[in-house]
Amino acid sequence: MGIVIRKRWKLLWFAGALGAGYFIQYNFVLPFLSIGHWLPDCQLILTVYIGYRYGAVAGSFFGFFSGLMQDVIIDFYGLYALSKTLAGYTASYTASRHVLLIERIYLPVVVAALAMFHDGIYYGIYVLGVPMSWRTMMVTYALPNAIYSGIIMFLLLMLIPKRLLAHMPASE
Amino acid sequence: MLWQLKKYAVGFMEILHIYRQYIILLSLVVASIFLLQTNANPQLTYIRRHLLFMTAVVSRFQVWLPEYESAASVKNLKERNIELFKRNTVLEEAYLENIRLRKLIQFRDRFPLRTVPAHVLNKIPNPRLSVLILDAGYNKNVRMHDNVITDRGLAGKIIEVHENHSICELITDEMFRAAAKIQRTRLDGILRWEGRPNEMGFYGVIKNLDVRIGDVILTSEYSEYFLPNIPVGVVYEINNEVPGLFKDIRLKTFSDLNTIEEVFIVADTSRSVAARSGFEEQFLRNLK
Repeated sequence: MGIVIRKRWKLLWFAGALGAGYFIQYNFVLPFLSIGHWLPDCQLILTVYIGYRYGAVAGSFFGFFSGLMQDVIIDFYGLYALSKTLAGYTASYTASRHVLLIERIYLPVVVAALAMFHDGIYYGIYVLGVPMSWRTMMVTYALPNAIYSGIIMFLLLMLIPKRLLAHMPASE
Repeated sequence: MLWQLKKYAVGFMEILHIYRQYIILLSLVVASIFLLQTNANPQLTYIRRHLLFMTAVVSRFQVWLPEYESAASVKNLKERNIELFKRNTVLEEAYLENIRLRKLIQFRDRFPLRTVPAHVLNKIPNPRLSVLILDAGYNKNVRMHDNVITDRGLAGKIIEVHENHSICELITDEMFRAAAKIQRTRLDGILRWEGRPNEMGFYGVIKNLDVRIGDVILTSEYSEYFLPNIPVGVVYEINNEVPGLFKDIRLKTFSDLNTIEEVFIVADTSRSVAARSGFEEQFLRNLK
């Protein structure tokens, strides 16, 4: 019984922290990070990191709920949720013990690649029935944003002490 | 028994545990798609439209599947289908006739001269003798040289009358000639057919006179057999580059003489009524 109550509290904490974190980054962090119309996808960075560190289940769940929050902003429910769920799930398969020493380089590349994967799904649905080209959207927005997200991930990893990074990914 | 059920439940839970990440992924993807369905964006409209199309394609494949209906019921359905098709054709025909006749009745009610309605019994499309056989004759007081009109304008004149039927010479007959005038300038000329369906020539207008494309041609007071001011057609081509004194003017007839089925024979020959101003408007308002 005690375990169940503790789990419920954990879930509430998780939801609260997610909501608060999203609110803070959307209102206070993103405006400072934008370069023209290019923006890093902070939710995606976190989703990929969680999927990479804690496995497919955590990555999928985090991706789904953080995507849902973004869906509220763009008023297109399910679009970010779907693409982020798949990105979070895929992130778990990129974890490997062979990259432990080069994780600061490897993880940003994974973030950039999964950002492209994520945006591929996102724009794939977004351009349906509207006069936009998927290829143009990918070249104009997805590619620069993916590179930018990768750079942000690299900078974050440089700030985190190495001893905190040096542990095994969950799926290994 | 209970023990076995418990064993199954444990086994099931174990399977769920092993495949939990796939099950969770599938559930989240399904939840996302369900959320996508709640939107009313053009993207979703596009997806729904294509899904409908795919459903139609798949249902077409179903036609290839063996039919489990009995032969008797298939035969019965086919017969019923033919019967309904026949009935539908009759109703469609009646509907179109209804619309056409309503227009003609409206025209007849407001037309100032007495007219005899007539159905076309037969058409003779010979260019040397372009005539209609009508189902009205002496029995309905039809006389020689009575004008034949439609709700849009002149169609021809009666050239032969019998007890129950009469023969109408169309304006697109090779021998047809009639005095006519241009509505705008009152310039006179002669109408004659020049060999094309629903087209006529207007002959006798000198080259330096004012004729424009779009001018309406009416029958003239000079005409021996036709009442004045019945519209005939509209000018669509004027050519001055022809030898001789006169312009080469072509007009399209207002009445479609290829599809004509009902006409009015003008039984009243009062020229004073036809000569009144605004008489041609009875026809021209039907063209709008």
